[in-house]
Amino acid sequence: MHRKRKLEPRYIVILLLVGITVILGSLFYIFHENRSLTIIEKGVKDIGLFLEGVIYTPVRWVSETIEVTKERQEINKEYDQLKRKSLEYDLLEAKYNELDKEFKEITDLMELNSTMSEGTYVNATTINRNIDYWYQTITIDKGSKSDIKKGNAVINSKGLIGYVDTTSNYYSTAKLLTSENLNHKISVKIEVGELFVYGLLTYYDKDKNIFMIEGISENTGIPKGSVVTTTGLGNTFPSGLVVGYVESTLMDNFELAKTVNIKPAANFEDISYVTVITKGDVE
Amino acid sequence: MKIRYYLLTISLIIEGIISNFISIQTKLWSPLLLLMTIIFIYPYFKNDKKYYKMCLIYGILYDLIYTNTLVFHGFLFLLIGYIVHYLYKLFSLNIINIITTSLILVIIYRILGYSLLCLVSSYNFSWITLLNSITSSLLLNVIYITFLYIIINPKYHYYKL
Repeated sequence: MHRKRKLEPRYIVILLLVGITVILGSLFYIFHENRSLTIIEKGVKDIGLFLEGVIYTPVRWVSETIEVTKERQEINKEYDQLKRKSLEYDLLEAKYNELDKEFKEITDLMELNSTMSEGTYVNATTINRNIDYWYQTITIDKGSKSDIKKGNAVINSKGLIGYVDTTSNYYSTAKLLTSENLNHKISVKIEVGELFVYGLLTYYDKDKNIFMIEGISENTGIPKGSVVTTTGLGNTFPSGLVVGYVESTLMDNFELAKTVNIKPAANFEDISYVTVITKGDVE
Repeated sequence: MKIRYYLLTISLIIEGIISNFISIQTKLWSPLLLLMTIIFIYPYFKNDKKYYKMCLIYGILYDLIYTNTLVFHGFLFLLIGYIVHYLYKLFSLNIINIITTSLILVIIYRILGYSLLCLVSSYNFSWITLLNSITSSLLLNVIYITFLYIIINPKYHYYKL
C-alpha cells in the first residue's frame, strides 16, 4: 500500500524560511513601490465599492435627512445675522473685483502655473472611510474616468485634507493628512504680516489634533492664529490651499530651528463631500 | 452560496459603511467586523482547508476594496484562521469563551499587523501606538461578535450555515 512520505524536519525548516522570505518580500514590494492598481485590482475594487455604495445610499439618506433638519433650524438663526451683514456686501464686492484684477496682473507677471485658482475641480462624495489605526484613507465616488490622478490634492470647504493615493475607473482612495505614513512631505508657508515663513508639514498628533511643521530656520516670531497654506513647491499641491492655523511654536533642543504646531483648518470628521483639484499631479 | 459566505460578505460591506459614522480620532470604536465574523464562523466549517481558503480570499478582498495593500490582510487573516483553529480546540463553545477568543485574537491581530507593518513599511514602532490600536478595537468588536452569537447560536446550528 502506498504510504504518504513525511518531509524531513530540515526540509520543513527550509520551506518555512523560503515561504516567510517570499511573503515579506512581496509585502515590502507592495508597501515601497509606488505602484498603480492592476486591471483586476481596479475591477474588484469598483465592484466591491459599487455594492457598498448601493447599501450605503439609503443609510446616508436617512442620516442626511436628520442632519438637514438640524441644520435648517440653525440656518434660520443665521439668516437674521446674514441679513444684517448683506448690507456690507456691495462694498466688499467692489473691493474683491479690484483685488482680483490686481491678482491676475501679478499672476501674469510671475507666470505662475500652479495656483489654486487655476485648478480644475471635481466634486465627489465620500463613500467609505478607512479609519483603521494605520490607514486613515477615504474612498470617493470619482476615479480616473473623471480625470482624477494619483497625487491630486483633496480639499473640503475648510481646506486641504489629503491627496489621491490610488485610482480605479470609478473610485479613488485618498490618503488623509492625518495618516501616519504620508508619502509626500508637504511644503507649507506661514503668513506673518507681509512675510512668508516656509517649512515642511511632517507629523500629525492624533491626541492633540495638531500638525507639526519642521525645518523652519527663520527667527521671525510667528503669532498664534497665523494662516498656514501650501506653497505649490515640488508640484505636489497647488499653492494657496489652507492647511491650518498656528497654535504654538517650539524651539528644538539646540535652539536652532523652530517647530510649529498648527490646528487643522479642515474638520476631518466632516468629510462627506470633498473636492479634488485635478491639476498639479505628481507620479 | 451558503449563509456563512453571505455573513462574511455583509460584514465586509458593513465594516466599510460603519466607518463613515465613527470618528476618525476614535479611541474606542475601531471596527474589525470581518475579522470578528472570521473568528465566529470557524465552527461552521467541517473542513479546515476550506476555512483557511476562505480566510485568505476574504483577506485579499478586504485588501483590494479598502486598503490597496494586496495580500497583507490575506496573509494576516490566514494566520489568524490558523490560530482560531487551535483556540477553538482549547475552549468549549459558549458566549464567554467566544468573547475571550475574540479578545485574544484582536490583540494578536494588532500585534502581528503592526509588527509586519514596521518590518516592511516606513512605520516607527511605538508601544503607545500599538496599545492604543488594541484598546480602540476591543469594545465595538466584542459587541459585534456577541450580536452574531445571539442571532446565530452555534450550539443549535452547528455545521448548518
